[in-house]
Amino acid sequence: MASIRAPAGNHDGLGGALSGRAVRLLRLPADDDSLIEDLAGDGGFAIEPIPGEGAGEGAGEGAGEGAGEGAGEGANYAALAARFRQEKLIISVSTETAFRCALSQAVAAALSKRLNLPENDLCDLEIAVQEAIGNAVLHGNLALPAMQGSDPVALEARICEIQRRLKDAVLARRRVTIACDWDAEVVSVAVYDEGAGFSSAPSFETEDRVEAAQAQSPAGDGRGLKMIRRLARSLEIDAENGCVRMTFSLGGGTARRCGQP
Amino acid sequence: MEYNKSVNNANVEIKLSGRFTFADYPVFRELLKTVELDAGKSLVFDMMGVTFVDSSALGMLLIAHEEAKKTGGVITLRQPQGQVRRTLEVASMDNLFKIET
Repeated sequence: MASIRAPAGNHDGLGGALSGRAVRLLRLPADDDSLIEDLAGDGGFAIEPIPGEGAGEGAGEGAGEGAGEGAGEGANYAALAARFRQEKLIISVSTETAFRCALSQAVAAALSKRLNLPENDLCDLEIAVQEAIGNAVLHGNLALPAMQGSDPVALEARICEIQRRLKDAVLARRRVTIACDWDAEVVSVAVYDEGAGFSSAPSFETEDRVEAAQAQSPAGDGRGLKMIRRLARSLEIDAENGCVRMTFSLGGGTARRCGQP
Repeated sequence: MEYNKSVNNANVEIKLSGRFTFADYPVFRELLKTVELDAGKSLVFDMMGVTFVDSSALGMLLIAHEEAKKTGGVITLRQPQGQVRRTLEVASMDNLFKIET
């Protein structure tokens, strides 16, 4: 799987317009297994420009491209910067990128540069973040139904649906945004998607729906929420904002290697 | 994720490496197509080189498990490393597979 590499020296000059924050512009190569670098740089804000974003869903493929990529990127930054004023680390990419790249690994690496997280805690955090990203991509932005069964036929159906939906311009350019904040005791990681169903349903219904879908799916299709509950200090499903917010304790852990009791 | 298949008298062995996640459904489909289990033969996944799995990956292993059961075979996970063991445990799937340490 391709990793994410942020190019060097790429502050784009929009920083002054964004509450003084330096913005790192992600240019993601199609197939690059180079090392993950610090995604968000010193400014803590990494964003993948999505051409045509903001043209409005349902406007059809190619809509908004005439506005010019530069103008679209500026709008991307401004909207995201306005939304995430408080958080210390923001990484925002398209669904296509979130599917293809090792995003949870990049988040864990960026956090480990900033926080003193024991290896086992970092491991648990990455597992939980991966599950939240999986839910955001598959069940949120791509709106995939739960797998029906645990056999090659169900697997084939799932692959066809994923590939079909990743080719859908509206679905593929929905964002997955990960916003992290922390103090001395707790780090909070919120994973946002732009799935329509998720953002419109009351939270308890959303959670029930997700868990009901998971229970029907013997193929382990998203045991995600249960796993996150076991790993995180807290889990909140914020349906209004389309996000899963997890917190993890800082500083309480002993040095144990991941996978060891 | 990448995989390498070898066959010996008793088992079909598949060495997996890298990250194994929801991005790997197509790779796993290809992998399953190369596996033809004779009756009673076991499928061994060598997990030594796997650095990370998620619940989708465990779901895919479960599909292989179900397929192997049809011919009376079993699935073995050989030498899963730290993160993989932790994920199996957190997903309550550590008792589902035969694990060889």
